[in-house]
Amino acid sequence: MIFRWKSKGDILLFCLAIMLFTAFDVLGEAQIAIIANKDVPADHLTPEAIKKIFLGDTTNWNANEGIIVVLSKDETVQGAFIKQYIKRTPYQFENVWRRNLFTGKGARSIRISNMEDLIQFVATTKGAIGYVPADTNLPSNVKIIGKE
Amino acid sequence: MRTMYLYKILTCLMIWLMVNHQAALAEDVQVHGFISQGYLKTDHNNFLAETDDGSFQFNEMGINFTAYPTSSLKIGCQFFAMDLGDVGNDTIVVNWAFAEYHYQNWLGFRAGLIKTPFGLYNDTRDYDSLRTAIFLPTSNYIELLRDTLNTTKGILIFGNVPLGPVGSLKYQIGTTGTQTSPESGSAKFLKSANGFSEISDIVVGERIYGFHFQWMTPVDGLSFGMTYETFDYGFDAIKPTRIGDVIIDVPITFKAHEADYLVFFGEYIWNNWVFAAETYRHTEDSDVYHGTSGAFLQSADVDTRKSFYVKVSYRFTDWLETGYYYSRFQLQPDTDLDTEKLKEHCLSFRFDINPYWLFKLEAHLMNGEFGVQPDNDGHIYNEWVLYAAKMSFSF
Repeated sequence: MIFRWKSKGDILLFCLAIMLFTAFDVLGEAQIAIIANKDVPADHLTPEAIKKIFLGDTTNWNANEGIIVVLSKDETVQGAFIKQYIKRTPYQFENVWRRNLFTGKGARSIRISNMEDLIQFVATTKGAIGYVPADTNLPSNVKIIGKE
Repeated sequence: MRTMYLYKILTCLMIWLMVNHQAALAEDVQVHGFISQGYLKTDHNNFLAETDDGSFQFNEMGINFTAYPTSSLKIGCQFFAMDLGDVGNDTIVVNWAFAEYHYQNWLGFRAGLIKTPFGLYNDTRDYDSLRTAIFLPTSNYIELLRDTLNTTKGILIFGNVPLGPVGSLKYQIGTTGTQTSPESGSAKFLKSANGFSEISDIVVGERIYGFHFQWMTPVDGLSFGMTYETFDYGFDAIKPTRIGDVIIDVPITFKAHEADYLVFFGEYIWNNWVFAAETYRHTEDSDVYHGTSGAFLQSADVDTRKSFYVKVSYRFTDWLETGYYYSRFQLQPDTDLDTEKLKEHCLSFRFDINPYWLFKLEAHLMNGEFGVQPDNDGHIYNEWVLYAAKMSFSF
């Protein structure tokens, strides 16, 4: 018996069925450490606290101390970070920050391509938090505040 | 002429920025923008533009600047232009411009021209790259009301209050106002929905009071919320009225004493899936008076409590996403008039060519005539299809 589309409703149902059976894409496996400027008033963050900061739900360290979220443009590092800490798809993660940028709302963020530049920015910027591969050598004015 | 000049400068600046993929012009000023161009076609009727023949009068563009004088203080603005049929016509407006002081996670202040918090997606509806579908569901996001609902001028307090083991609560509470001209989409919407030949002296929401809550539950990705707004509005209009065999122009004055919006919403983000639903209740006690004598003519109350949508979207790969929604708009709870209803099934496909460039295709199976204009032969059909395509760039 040959299946034939009977109506536009069949086409909609078919598309929804495909959506149900498609698997989740797996991202990179590198271990990621969360780093922050040495003056940040936190020495250890729980995975939940990290997630809230990087999804823009937590915007301040303390009163009048805004958080500056430093995002990597390195897709491998970013992919591993999202998988390890955020548990969302890269697209969903990007949407959070695009939404903030386009509406002018939410936490402050900056994107940096080069890992050395990223570490340097975190080291010299009050309130900055970012992420690097866990085996990265760090200067003394940067501290690790999260590592799974 | 001056507008065209500004438009050309804006376009050149945005293209230059996109070509260079620069996210900032200076260390402390962030610059972002977007341009989109769409195409609309209906098999019957005209909807939002001259769609019976197909229309390219469907585009948006914007560029925004944000600076941080201190770690808790932000100042920014966005220039925006859009065209949708005879609404917008690429006139550049300031879309948002505000100062924000974020004292703590749970307390911040925002003042200026503000993106209105309204349901799940109102504050992001200008940004095509943030969603799967080209059009948001008509039940909650009527396109012609966008210019009035999208941006308001005033003060908001906002924050994110931790609730311990039950998650957290995001809130925005404020008082704002909006300015609406007879050329606005909202005026054109009122004109078309009520059969007025002319509309003038429109005042919508000189003072709007409202709040927006979103409970971020302990279940990752699951949130529920509500928006409430209350305001007054009114306008003068000319209503062509048939008396016997003669049609005469009757001047009227319309006053909505208590117009309220109440929206409940929920969203669940789970792996590659996004599920969302919103209700939409707009109620108003409105009276129509004779424009010259001031005599009461009739009531024109509205209650859209049966309006809602449900939607689902799924991302297959980093370049392909699809979504479906069902939306129902109903102007009165028990109406039998096709002109007061619009149901739609929408299927969308989104193709991300690269992180800055995307293309979308979608089809809407429509049932109803609310907001619908006759086709080029003067006929209105109850069942019809809207096709839309759109390409967007953002940086």
